Amino acid sequence: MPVIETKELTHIYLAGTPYEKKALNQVSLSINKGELFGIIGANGSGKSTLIQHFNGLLTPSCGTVRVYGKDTANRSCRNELWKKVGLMFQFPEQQLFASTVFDELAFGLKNMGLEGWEIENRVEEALLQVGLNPKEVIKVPPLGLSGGARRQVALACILAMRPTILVLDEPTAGVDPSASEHILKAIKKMQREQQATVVMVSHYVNDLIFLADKLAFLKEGRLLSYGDKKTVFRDMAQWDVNDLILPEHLKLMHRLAAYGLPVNTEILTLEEAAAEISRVMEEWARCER
Amino acid sequence: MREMITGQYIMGDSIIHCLDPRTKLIGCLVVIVVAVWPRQTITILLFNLAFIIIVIYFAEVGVGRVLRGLRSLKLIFLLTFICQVFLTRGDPLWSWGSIVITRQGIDLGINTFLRLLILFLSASLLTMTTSTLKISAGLESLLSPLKYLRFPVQQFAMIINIALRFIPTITEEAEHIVRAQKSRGAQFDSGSLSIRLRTVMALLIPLLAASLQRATDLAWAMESRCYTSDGQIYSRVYKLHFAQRDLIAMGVISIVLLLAIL
Ligand SMILES: Nc1ncnc2c1ncn2[C@@H]1O[C@H](COP(=O)(O)OP(=O)(O)OP(=O)(O)O)[C@@H](O)[C@H]1O
Ligand SMILES: [Mg+2]
Repeated sequence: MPVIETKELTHIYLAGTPYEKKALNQVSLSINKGELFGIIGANGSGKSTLIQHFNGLLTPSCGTVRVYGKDTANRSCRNELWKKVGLMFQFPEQQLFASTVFDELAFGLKNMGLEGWEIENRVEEALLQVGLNPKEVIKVPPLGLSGGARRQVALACILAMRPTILVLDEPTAGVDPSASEHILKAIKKMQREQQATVVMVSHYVNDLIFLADKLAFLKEGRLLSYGDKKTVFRDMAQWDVNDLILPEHLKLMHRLAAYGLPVNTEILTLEEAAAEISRVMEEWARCER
Repeated sequence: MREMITGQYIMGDSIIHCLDPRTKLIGCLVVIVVAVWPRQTITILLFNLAFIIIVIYFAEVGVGRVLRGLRSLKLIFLLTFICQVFLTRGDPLWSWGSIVITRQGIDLGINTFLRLLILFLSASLLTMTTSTLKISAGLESLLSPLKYLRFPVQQFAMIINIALRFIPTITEEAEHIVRAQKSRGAQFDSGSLSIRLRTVMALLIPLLAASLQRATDLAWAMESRCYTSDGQIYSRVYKLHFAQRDLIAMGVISIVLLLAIL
């Protein structure tokens, strides 16, 4: 059963002004419960715009968005969505404001109407989840932490609210590998142990290649390909994707295919790529003989 | 941004857009001075308003868009009008208990309303048809005689330029933060005073932090490109030049001024 469903979703910024911008153009997709759904696309392709529709922060200019079967155009549904759909913005560490990490995490929890012990338990649990030591950081001002740790705190803020859908905008952009690993681990764990649905935006395809169950590829506001990872990667060979960071072996396969070699581009891992290349070469050798 | 900010620059190539920024600054100043001159009659104010509306028409920015900016100011307009009407003494027109409405009150109410309207329209027309770069170049050129009084004209123009330049950026940033905090359940529109205060802090602190960060970054960037504030002359991308159309525009403005004074 799809938990998020968009139908011909179109979003136009600044409609009716000279600065009008169509950021999304007729995007239809559905995301199933428990899936880890990856969205890839270059800068300005509309990824952030798309995911802000998932918790009702933006509403469609045209088309519909349904979350748990309810239309987000309905105001009262939209205003309750933040409890179920945890959305972490791009560079979320820029939105931290409280004087201690504890207060920072408690902000969302208090908004949910929780009190006392419940808040303390959840704060501790969320910090552990993202790989921080609660005893060390809980009394520190968030702005005093390193960039990576701040990103972890921002993720903890969302996790503490225990959303059933987790939406993340470039969670690993601009942090070091160790923080990035903690973040990805926490996300994966959340999906596996709490059966959460996860939507993750990234233009580091490397992050998503093993993690994601399904992928969507956006370009200039259009959904060019979506579904199984391998099909999406195969489809991507047809489009100019120089603006995306593809893993080297996928780039190689796409190049070979562009040269007209009969390689199968439905490939994920390095090993698969190697096997495919040797298969093609053997076939060649056989033909020459 | 969901909507455009009031008075945001709109690209165009209308007659008004092409005028020298100095002409527009002077024109704006003239209109404003006429409007705020003490004991101005309603006829002159109406005449002034008509002039502005004609200019808006020539600027091709859309009357509707200019008027839309008024929506956010309607409360101020209404309040000043009501205060003037009820609090001015004079010949009573109508009274109910201790509340008296006088003719002078109504006169003054309409008068103030028109003045505010003129101030708003002329200022937003200026910024809608002139890029910030041109406004600051025009200001700098108009203020340049003050150099002889050791007034730091260039720095002043640079400050104005930077301030104007960052209004849209900061608005956009504020909106971004509001959305981010909303997705953590911040209630910006409802709730008790203490909740409201907490949510406003959740907006103001990151906004302030980002602005300060941006200011330091900008300062470093300017210094690393050898910008100094000791009155060196820098060249500009926009060379201002006073064309024939500016002469004509100045002529029109003078006529309007003369008519207003007589
Ligand atoms: N608030 C806004 N007002 C006007 N235009 C906007 C706004 N937000 C985004 N846009 C425009 O919409 C388009 C899509 O933006 P979006 O932020 O969704 O892209 P993105 O895929 O998230 O890019 P990035 O990788 O840079 O985050 C861009 O061209 C952008 O300029
Ligand atoms: Mg984005």
